[in-house]
Amino acid sequence: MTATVHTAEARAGAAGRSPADPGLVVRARSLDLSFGAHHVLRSIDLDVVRGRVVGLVGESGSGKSTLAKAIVGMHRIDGGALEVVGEDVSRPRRAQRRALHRRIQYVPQDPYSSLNPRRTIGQTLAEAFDPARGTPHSRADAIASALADVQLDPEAASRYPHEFSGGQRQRIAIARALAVAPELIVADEITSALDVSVQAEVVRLLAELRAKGADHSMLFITHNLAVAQAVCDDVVVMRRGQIVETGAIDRVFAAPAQEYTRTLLDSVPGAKGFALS
Amino acid sequence: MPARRRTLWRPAFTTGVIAMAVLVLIALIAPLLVSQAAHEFTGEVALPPGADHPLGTNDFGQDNLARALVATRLTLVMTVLATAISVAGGLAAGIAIWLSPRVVREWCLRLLETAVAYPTLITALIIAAILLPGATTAVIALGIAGIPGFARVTANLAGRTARAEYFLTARFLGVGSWHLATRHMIPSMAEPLLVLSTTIFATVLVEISALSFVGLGVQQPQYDLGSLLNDSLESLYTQPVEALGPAVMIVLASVAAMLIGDGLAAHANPRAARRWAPRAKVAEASAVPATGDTALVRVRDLRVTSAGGETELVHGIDLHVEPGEIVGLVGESGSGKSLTALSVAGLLADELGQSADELRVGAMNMLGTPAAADLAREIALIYQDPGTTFNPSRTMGPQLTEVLRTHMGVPRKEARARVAEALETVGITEPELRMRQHPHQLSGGMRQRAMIAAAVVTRPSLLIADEPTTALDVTVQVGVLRAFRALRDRLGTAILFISHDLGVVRELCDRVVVMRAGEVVGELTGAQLAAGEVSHPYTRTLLDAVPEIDTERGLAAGADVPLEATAPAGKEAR
Repeated sequence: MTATVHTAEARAGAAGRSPADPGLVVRARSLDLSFGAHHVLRSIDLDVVRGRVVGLVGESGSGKSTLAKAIVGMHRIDGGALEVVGEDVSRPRRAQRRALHRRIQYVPQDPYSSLNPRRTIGQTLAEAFDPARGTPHSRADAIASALADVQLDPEAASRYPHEFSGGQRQRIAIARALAVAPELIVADEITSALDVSVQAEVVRLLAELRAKGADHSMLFITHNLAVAQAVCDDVVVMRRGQIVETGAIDRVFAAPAQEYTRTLLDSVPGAKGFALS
Repeated sequence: MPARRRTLWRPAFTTGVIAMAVLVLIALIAPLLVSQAAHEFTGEVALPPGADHPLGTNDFGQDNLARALVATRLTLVMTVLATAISVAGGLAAGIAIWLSPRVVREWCLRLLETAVAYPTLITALIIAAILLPGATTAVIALGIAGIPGFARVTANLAGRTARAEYFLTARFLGVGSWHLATRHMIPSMAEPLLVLSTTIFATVLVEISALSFVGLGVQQPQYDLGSLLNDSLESLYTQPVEALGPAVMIVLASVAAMLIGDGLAAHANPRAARRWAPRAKVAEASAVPATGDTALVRVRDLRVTSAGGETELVHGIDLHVEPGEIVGLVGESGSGKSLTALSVAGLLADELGQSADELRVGAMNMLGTPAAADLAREIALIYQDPGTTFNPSRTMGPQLTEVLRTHMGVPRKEARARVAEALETVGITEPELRMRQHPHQLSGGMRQRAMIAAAVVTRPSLLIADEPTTALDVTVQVGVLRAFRALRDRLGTAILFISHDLGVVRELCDRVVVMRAGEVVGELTGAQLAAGEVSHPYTRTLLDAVPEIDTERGLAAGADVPLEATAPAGKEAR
């Protein structure tokens, strides 16, 4: 049986873009992945409905990052079927992957290494709009509006990454991902390397982007359950390469069906079930 | 930038640049001015040095000095061309390897390693022997022979860039190979490759002269510095001065290139050239608490400055920890919380400056040099990364019993028994087995708890923990936090708990000190924090920024949430 993430509230408006299953941006069936003899993902069934923000939570070694990387094509799967934005990528060819690149965007964890230190923000964003030419002048308007989307001044375009704080850099990385109007954004622990106040700033930005009507789907990988709840509609709880529980995040957190989810929730400092003695 | 520019124009680099400029000037003008003296056959054969001929003349009556000066042009031109071939070929190969599919890359890297194992001069000799000897041959042979070495370094640097997240992202945006190379790879390795190019230039210069010297390089009537050396060989005993000109020019050119390379390398890595003097220690190792001061740790007006003393990082903070108290030191990155903790532990890096009116732990003056045994007994430390706390090549046992054995004179057997007991109290099962294992066989949470256990047996009065749970999973974090609490409750150990996580601090600490930009901006009790009674605006901001988990929201809105979206039963992993 499939762990469908919240079919009931699928956005009707976003449907119809892909012939295979218009309502799904990710469709995994008994997906297996191993590094040598080590099974990292075991028979994963996952549906991500278009337009939803889905949190992929779990502890280290749960396979959440590996699953995310498999979805964007950074890891090859060993078994099962995987469809992303309607394309079968179980056995991807290089050309097919390249064609998919602009429909799926990946935002990495570390804001300090995700921007080329030797290129201006304008050059970095221009590359997203036009990978072949990548000159900031021709795209000045688009760059300015991309920066405005993440609440940065247009003059930021002429500056270098080291002139920005971690939070600002993460916003630039998000702007770059949004620039190509992707159908799916995979955000891999994008708040984990940040200070709490900066983390709050990124979480707020993501909420505002949604409020403004951004219609992309997002897979938000995090080990921080509170951040997941602030950002996501649905949650997928993973443990040791398997999916433990899925559903609307508020409902899962209020009434977890699985013992492991309960343990995880009670371990968060400040949670109701948390006790040090 | 002015600071960096100063590091470039140091005496050695300046000397190198001047020497190279002189050589280039000679190469440009010597053939125009002295070619007659260098080429004309005269009757003045094999003259010793004199006023007309500073280095004498050769067997054909040509002026030795003039010939050495004129030959410099050909040697430099050949060296530049051969270096260019090595650099261009190596760069292209090194980058192409990292832009090709993994299988191709692995094979090419192995091939490259094999090629690097061959000495370049031997490779060049083989190529030169196959082709007809001559100046062009020498350039091609040495150029090709130098490619693998340069490609190997380029591939290393390119590999580092290829793994950088900005590079992966650019690939994801669909940037083509050519632009990946020109926009991202080459700029990121320009500096080290420039340095390497100067080294290669110096090497090629010597090798190209060597080729000519053995007769495989430049042929008559052309001549370069190497063939001049060869010419001087026949009369080396009768007219040794003939070898002086070419020898000096070769040495001068390669030393100049080396000096330029060194200067560029130092410029690329300004830290390597920085000088600092170790911090002077205060003489007294012991400190007497002021009357009525019951605090275990007393810090008054602690200041920490950067290496060289230009910037103050911690601006005169006051801090105290009572015996048996758990004090949280909270702040964001750059707040100075870790520097403060390191000062208290007496472990501040030597290049940083440190001053305080008082910096006392028990009766130890941490501004001085307390005895190692006292330090080991009184203060225990737990670091953020449980992966690097223990020596990976030794088993856990000797490392956990070390303080007991070396500083407290407890026999080995008893020390092991006491540590085993302590391991059990922090919730580690099969302690005897764990002590025979290596650190990598234990999980991160186990290693952190083992550190706490080591603290339990030595009964320190103070435990300093720097972000001890940051690298841990939440379910593991609970266990570690419980072990901290138990340590204090059972043995009365005071704990200085450094963290950026107000959520954790709120649960664990009796008192919380909030730091920002090197200053203490607020202090409140754990109860105040738990109740949200926070008055200081920054502390408020920090507290508000901590995302709270809400397990009630779903219950309130639960009515319209479909329950069939749950995973099937039995799906849970063990």
